Amino acid sequence: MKKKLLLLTTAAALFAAAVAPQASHALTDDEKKKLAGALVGIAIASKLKEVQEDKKAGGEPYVAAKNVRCFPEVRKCYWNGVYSSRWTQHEF
Amino acid sequence: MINKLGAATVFASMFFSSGAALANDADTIAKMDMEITAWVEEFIGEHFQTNQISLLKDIGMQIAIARNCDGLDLDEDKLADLLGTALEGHDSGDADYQVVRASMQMSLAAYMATGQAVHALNPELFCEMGEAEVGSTEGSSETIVLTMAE
Repeated sequence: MKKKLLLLTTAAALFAAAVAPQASHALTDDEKKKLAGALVGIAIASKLKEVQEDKKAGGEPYVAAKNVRCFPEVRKCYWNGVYSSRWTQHEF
Repeated sequence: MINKLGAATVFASMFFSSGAALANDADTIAKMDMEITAWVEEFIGEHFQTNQISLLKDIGMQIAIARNCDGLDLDEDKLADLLGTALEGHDSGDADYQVVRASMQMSLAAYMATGQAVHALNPELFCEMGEAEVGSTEGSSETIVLTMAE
């Protein structure tokens, strides 16, 4: 979540820098790379979230976070195979 | 401690026919947990709402963690509140109150035993998970009654 927020903030800042009326300089190569990276990151995160939501809706097991698998059919999440209250409450 | 570990191993062996080879497999541990949970939920289902059933599992597992893992303790005030939530809708004057209380106690015992079994199979993983429940900033802390021991 924090990563996504950071990516969004970075992308927003770079985008603002790129389109701001007072901006008199073109983006440097480094800035372009950062912007592209941030946008790709956001696209991947959105796609993953979408896949997660599809699986959840379809009752298929899905990965909610690193090492966390959730099972919609029984409404439970497991961290490395051990039941997680934190993730179960979050997801269901 | 030896008795508790022995009981947990016997309990675990009821569900694991292939021994240690399966013991470290995360999916196998999760499957065991889900099977026991399904049985308990069916058993107590008629007395509790879905969120209360889920809450009883959350509580039972965390008690097992606090009992087995050094450095982890229970927030007793929050635990009392959550137990109250788990019993919401039932009154001591109800005809079936004793049955409800017994169902709650049995489900907690079953979940604690499940946790005990998982601990017996993989103590490090079990306690690491307990620390993650306390320390993580992800997920939801609403039902987390574990705290770091002082």
